[in-house]
Amino acid sequence: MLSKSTLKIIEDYLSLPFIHAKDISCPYFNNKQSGQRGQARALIGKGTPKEIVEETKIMAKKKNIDLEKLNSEETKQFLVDNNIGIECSGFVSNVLSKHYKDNNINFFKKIHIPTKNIWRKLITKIRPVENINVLTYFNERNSHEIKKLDDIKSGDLIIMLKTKKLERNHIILITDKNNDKIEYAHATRSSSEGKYNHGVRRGEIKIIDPTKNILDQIWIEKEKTNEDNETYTEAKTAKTLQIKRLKF
Amino acid sequence: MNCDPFSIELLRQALLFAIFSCIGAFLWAPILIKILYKYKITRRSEFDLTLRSGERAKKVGTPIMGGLLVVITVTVVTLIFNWHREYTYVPMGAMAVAALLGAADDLLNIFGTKRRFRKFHQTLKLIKIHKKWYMRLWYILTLPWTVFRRLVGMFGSHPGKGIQVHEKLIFQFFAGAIVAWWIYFKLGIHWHSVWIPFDGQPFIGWLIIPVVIFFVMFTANAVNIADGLDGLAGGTLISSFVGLCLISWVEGRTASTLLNATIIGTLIAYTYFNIKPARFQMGDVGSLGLGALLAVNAIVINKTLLIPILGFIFYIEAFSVIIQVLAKRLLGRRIFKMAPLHHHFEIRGWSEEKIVMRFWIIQSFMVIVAIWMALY
Repeated sequence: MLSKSTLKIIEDYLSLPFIHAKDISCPYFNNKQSGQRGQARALIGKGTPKEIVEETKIMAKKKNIDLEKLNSEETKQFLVDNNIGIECSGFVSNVLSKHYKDNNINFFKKIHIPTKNIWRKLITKIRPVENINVLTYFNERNSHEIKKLDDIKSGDLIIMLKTKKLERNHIILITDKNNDKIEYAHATRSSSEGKYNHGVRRGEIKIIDPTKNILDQIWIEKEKTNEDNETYTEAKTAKTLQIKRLKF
Repeated sequence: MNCDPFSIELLRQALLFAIFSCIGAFLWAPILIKILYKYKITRRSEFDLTLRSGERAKKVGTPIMGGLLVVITVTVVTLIFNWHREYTYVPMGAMAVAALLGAADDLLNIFGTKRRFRKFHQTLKLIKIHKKWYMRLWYILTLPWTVFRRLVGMFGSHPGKGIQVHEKLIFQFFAGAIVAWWIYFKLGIHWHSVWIPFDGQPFIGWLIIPVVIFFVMFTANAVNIADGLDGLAGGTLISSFVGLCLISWVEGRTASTLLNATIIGTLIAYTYFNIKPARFQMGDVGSLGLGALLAVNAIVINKTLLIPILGFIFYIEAFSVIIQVLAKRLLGRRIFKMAPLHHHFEIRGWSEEKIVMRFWIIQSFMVIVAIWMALY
């Protein structure tokens, strides 16, 4: 069970803690698009909700834009236009680090970030969240596979490697699980969402037959089901699809 | 050229120098402003992002290189009335070199063409893939220079035009080295010790050379960094030079007292025209020149270690940039909302006037502290 403060951080991503506007979900941004190095976390898709809001305010000041006068839609557009957002592994890392912190575990010290380069090893020590990606979570030293749907619990991860449509790796965080459904949250961007409507969102998987594969259940997200649901189609086309649980 | 400590005659002379240089600067300031407008030596927003926001957008079109008012007035007055081998050669020389560098930068920023530099990873790639072996060798041999350029580039602005950070540092190093060479080799053994507050003057020999170079370079850049709001650098420098002038007077150092008094007078005239809304801005010509002068004037009265206190605001501003860059690069987060520090307060909603006044007050207080320390 995820702690209250962990759920709060997910809520904050779903509705960024701006004072002037509500219900602005954090947009998706992957630094591969701009390739910035040595930047603030919020500008490379790895920031916490608080950092993202702070960076937005600074950016608005720099660009002579009165943030207070923008409505929710315009604020989100401003975020997207200025490359402020979160990517899937950044979202999972920040949420899980909070979850583990509540259990007195330093998530970033525990997680193993595979690298052979000594210089990169040093960098991963001081900037862990920036160096964690989907493959880090997939790594055998960090997680093990959960094969039965019945064994799934909150905090587990759905990992997709080399999805066909978007040609990327993707990670989804399971936020709750009961007998008939799995709830999840993730940061994503799909082709049908246009320029501004992407970002962090919730979804659920209705379990119709727990003995079958996760792809044989009903995936619902943004009121779209299975083949209409791009998260589902992405999972379906992934070369590797696994449910994993962190070992620590 | 020294006289009795607390000499009333020296005080009279110093005040006269300040009054005379202030009136002189006031008289030709309108001419300078006219010249700067005529040749369109004004601030442009193309390569200065901060000028695109809010109140700062109004600064576009304001003449820069207003620092010439101080640099030229001080040079002329000193050359005519206060030319002294031991106490004014070095400060004027250092100021001239730094001001020339600043002037070149100011002019190139306006009239120069955009320059492009190869990125570090591009150099590494060229080392691997360039088809000519001698070019690969060249890139390997010049790799330390590329690394240096990349590292120092992190701490500077990137206007695309003008003199780049790494080039500035090299020039400043030479300016500092000339001062250090002059002090070490030309001025005799009594210059080879450094005053430590409350702890006498230990002999440090040749180590005086790196100490001088460091303080000249750092202070010049620190003043340059702080010169970002109307009246900030000018008003703060007045306090710093008042401190130096008083310390020189207390110790009976005639040439230094008169030089600092001259600078105070011209800075008063400069700041009159520079307070918001500024009629002109200092530019690198003034900030680098006066920064170097501040450091050297403290060095020639053997109060080198007082420089961070006499130039407290400048040092705080410079360190805010260093801390911000390191925090962003190493930890991926900001310590300040924006660096240098005055921009942090601007983003927090302080008015320009409030920031400038508070910084002046803090600086004045620190100068009092510096004077008190100098008496021990």
